[in-house]
Amino acid sequence: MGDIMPQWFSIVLLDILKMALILAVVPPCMMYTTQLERKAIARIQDRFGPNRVGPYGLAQPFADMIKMLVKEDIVPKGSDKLCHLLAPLLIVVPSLFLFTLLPFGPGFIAAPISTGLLFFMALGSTGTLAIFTAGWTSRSAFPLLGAIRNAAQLIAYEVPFVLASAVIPMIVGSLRMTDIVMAQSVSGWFIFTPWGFTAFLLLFTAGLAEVNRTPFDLPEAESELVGGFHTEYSGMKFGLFYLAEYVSTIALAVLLSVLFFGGWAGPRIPFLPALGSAILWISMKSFLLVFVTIWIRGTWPRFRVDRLMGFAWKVMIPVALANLVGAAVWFYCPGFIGTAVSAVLVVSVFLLTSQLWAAPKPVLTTTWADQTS
Amino acid sequence: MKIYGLELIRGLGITMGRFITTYTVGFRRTFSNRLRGHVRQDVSQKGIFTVQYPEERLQLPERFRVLPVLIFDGKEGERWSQETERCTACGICAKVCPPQCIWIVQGKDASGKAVPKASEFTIDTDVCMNCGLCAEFCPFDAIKMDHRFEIATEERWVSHIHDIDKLHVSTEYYAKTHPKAWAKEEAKRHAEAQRKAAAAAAAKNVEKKA
Repeated sequence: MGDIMPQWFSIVLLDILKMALILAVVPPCMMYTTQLERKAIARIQDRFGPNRVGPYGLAQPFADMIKMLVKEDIVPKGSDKLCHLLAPLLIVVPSLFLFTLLPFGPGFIAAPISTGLLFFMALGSTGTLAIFTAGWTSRSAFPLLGAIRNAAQLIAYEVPFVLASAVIPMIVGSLRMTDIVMAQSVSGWFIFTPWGFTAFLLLFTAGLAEVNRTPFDLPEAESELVGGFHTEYSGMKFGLFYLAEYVSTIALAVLLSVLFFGGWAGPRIPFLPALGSAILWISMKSFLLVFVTIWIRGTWPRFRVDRLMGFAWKVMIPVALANLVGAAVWFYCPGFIGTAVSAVLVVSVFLLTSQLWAAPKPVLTTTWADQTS
Repeated sequence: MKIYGLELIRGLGITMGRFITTYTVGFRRTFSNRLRGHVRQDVSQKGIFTVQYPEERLQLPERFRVLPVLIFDGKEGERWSQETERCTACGICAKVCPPQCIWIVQGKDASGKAVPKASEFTIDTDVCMNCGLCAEFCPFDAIKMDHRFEIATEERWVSHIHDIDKLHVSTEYYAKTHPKAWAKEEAKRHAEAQRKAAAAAAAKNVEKKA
């Protein structure tokens, strides 16, 4: 192509193609994730779920989209108009950006940068800025409460999120996503190691908190805060918040399958090219993880604010630190001893911290004037 | 010491059980939304017990009542006539009707003489409260409560006033919707007819003897 058009042009063209591919594939995935969520939660509650639009309700996401698009866009009178408009865009762009960093097959990654994991974390936490913008500029009490909760939650959960994922570059020796997948094709999936399993649980929990999914959906707690940070949004602006939440959930699922479930690795599926087989495998793994988040949403109630913070600071961070040590032990003493030591370390720290965390608080006794004798 | 988190996992197991049960119980229903007439709302029901209303319906109880109808002796699809209509325009239903939603005009024959038939019978369905007193009091089994509850309309000035043509349904229809009540009434009518025939025969015998 170099002789027909300048080199920079072909690079730009390729990037535009990648962006177009992400924009074409990810939103439909999100639409059907919402459909899956509604269906699965309905089944958990012995209901059918949406089944009126199209066969088995499969056209429901399109009906929802049309509804969102034609709905009136209401902007509160006292709000900061510009920032109120910017917030939904600020949250959608980084969440779609996350997909450029995720490998879907050998060489099938939009931005193969050497600090992929680090950049993913940095991008993943920018959503809070948008949520705070939304909460602040709405000029309303509920969005502000939701935004403050979100900021507190992010500060608490970003620490165990980073600490838990730090074991991966420790063992692999690289932050590049493709290197992480390659390392697992040599040593086996990280989920089957004691430190990998712990890190997976920690990352999954902290990740749910980061993308505001149940049981950590305090910023939008619909039973407490009306709609949380997006109370004052309607129409497609609300739709963008919705989109961002689900896109981030999918991105988290893909990240976890890359870090712990061997990424695109899996037996070659017949009648498919190697790349197609790889994409199908990582999609299936991610789909299962998305299903687990939905399953959790259908099961667990929401955390209380103070319990949420306490859980992050008093349980998850100590366990994540112990896991770092455990991973180091596992790395330097391979075999049974290393595995046993790192497992015992993590389990004992969890038992200890959970006892301390949930220890009964000293009860303040009130002495009434007429009871003094 | 208490190990935390075990109950959370147990909870996940319970919901997953529920999720799977909805597919295993009534497996055929998963692939066919058109299975009708199967009521899944008894206490022991596991899995989904939603009745998908327009396609599936619960069996209505016989004494379910929506809006009165007039009965004429005939088959479905026939039109009522003064000969077949049961109503005698006695006006008892209009008198007992608590919200007073019934209007009756007595019929006349060709010579202009009043006959015990209704020529106009009007019910304002917006006023009717579905109490069923008219049907209880009617001595001729002429007015009965109906089962048709899908009566929503797009306007309310014309179609909510049911006139005599709209009110009349055949005995065949009534026998179908109210089989038990119909059988009882038929038995009663039959006994009454027999009693009358016997009385007439007895009277004839008395006449002969005399």
